[in-house]
Amino acid sequence: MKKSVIILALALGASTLSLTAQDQGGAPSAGERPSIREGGRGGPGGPGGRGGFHLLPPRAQEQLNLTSDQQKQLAALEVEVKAKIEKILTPEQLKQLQQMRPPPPQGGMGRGRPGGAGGGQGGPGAESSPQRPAQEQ
Amino acid sequence: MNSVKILIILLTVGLSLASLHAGQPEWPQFRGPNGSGIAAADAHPATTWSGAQNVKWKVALPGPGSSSPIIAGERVFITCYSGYGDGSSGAGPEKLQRHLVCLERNSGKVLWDKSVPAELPEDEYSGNLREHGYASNTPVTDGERVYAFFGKTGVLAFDFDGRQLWKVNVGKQSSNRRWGSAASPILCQNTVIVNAAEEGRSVLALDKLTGKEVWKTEVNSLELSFVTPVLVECAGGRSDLALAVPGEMWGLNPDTGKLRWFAQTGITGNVSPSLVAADGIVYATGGYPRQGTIAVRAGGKGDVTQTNVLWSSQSASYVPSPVVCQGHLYIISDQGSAICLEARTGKLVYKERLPGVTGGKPFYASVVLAGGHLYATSRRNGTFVVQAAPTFTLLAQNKLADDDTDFNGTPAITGKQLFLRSNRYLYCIESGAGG
Repeated sequence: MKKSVIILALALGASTLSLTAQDQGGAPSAGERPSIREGGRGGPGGPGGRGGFHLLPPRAQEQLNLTSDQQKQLAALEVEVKAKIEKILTPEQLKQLQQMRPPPPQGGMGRGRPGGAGGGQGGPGAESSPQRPAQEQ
Repeated sequence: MNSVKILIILLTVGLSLASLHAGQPEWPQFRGPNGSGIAAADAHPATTWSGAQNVKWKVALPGPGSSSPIIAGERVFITCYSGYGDGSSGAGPEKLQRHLVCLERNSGKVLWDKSVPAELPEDEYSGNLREHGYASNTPVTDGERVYAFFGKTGVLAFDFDGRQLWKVNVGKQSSNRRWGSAASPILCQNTVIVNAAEEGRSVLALDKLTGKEVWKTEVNSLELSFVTPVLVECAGGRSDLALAVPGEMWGLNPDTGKLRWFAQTGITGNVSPSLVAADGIVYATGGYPRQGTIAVRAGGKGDVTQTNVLWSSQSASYVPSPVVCQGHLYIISDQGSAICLEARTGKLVYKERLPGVTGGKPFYASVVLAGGHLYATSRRNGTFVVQAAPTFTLLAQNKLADDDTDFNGTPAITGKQLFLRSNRYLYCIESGAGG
C-alpha cells in the first residue's frame, strides 16, 4: 500500500511539476522580461515567487482553499516524495530537472477579455516563454 | 548593315525591353520596397489635394478592404471583398467573395477583376473583424505575377492578365479572438513567404512558380501575430527573416524556416504592426494591453535578448507600422499621435497629437514616406502630411470630402503619383491633375 501511495505521489508530482513551472511562467515577477520604458533596456530578472517542488500547483492550492492541516499534510508529503525522487534520479538527471524550462502554453496565447464590437482589443496574452521554431544547428 | 547585324540589334533591344517589363516593381508589396514604407528617392507626390484638386482619377471598387494598392509598371493591383460584411443584407459568410482587381495606372481603367469565393468556414463579421474586414492582406508582385493571400481561402498566384496560376491552402483555423486575416505575403528569392499565424499557426515559404511548399514552420505561439515579416541584412551579408510574435522577435533562416535567433520584446498580447528594418536593426511596435516599441540588432544565434536589444520605449502604435529614415523612427499611432524617436537610442524627440482626429482609433493605415514627407492617412479625417524631420511640422491635412467611408489602407507611391484607397474608391493623386 505504502509503495502504491508513493507511485501515485510520484505520478502526481510528475504531472503537476510542469503545471507548477507553467504557473511560474504565467505570472512572472516584474523583472523577468525586458521592461518597456524610454531609452533603456529592462534589468535582469528577479527570482520567481513560488518556486520549488509542488504536488499541487500553488494556484490550485489557493483555489482549493486548503485548511492549514491539509497544507501541513501536503507539505510533509512533498518533502517525502521529493526525497524519494532524489534517490531515484541520478545527479545528472536532477540537474537536468532543475534546468528544465516551463513548457509552452497550450491552446493559444491569449487569455484575456475578448474583443468587443468595433473597438475592443482583447486581453493580454500569457507571458511565459513562447514555443519557438526548431533552432538552426 | 547586313541582316545579321540588324537581327542582333533587334534582339538586344528586345531583350532590354523584356528586362524593363520584368523589372523591379515600383511598390511591390505592403509598405513598398522591403516593407520599408519609403518610396524611391525620385518620388515626389503632391502634398495637398482635395476632391477638386490633384485627383488624377477616382474609380469605384467592387467592395471595401483594408489592404494597400501595389504598383508594377503600368499596373496597379488591389484587393477587396463583397457579398458579406460589406452591407449586403441577409447574406452569410457563404456569399463572401474576395477580389483581386488590376487597373491601368495612368487612367484608372479596370483591366480585370478576379473574384474568388470564400472557402468555409470563415469568421463571422463581428467584433474586431469589423475594424478591417476580409481583404486586409496586401498582395505582392515580382513584376510578372501577383500573389494574393485571402486568409482561409488560401494563397493564389495570377499572371498579369488575370489568369490563375496556382492556389494553395495554408490553414482554416482561427485565433481565439477570431479577428480574421491580416498579414501580407512577401517575396524572398523564388519563394512567397506567408505568415499564416491566424490560419494555421505557421509561416510558410511557397515556390513562387508552382505554389509548392518549400518549408513550413508551425508553432502555436505564432497565434495573434498579424505581422508582415521583413527581410533584414545582418553583418556578414546574411539575410534573416524577422518576425514578431507575442513576447518575442524571431530571426529565421529564409531558406529553411529554422530559428536563428530570438529576443524577448515585452510586446505581449498580440502584435499587429509590421516590422521595419534599417541598417541591420529591426524595429517592432505594438502589443496589448500596454504598447511598446523595441529595437533589436538582427543576427547572432539563440537568445540574443541581452546582447542585441538596443532599446525599448513606451511610445508605440497598436496597429499602424512605423518608418525609419535618416536616424529617426517615425510612428503615427492608432490614437493619432505623431511620434519621432531617435533610431539609435529610442530617445523621444517629439510626440504631437495630430489636430482634429476623433474617435478611439482614428488611424489604421501605416505612415509612408516620399520626398521628405510623411503621409499618414486617417480613417475619417484625411491624410496628414508631416515633414520627415526631427522637428514636428504639419504641412497639410487633405480630405476627400465626398467620400464618407473609412480609409484603412496604406497609400502606395511611385513618381508623382500617390494611390489611396477607401472602402469605396481607389484614388490616384498627382500634382497638376484636376478634380
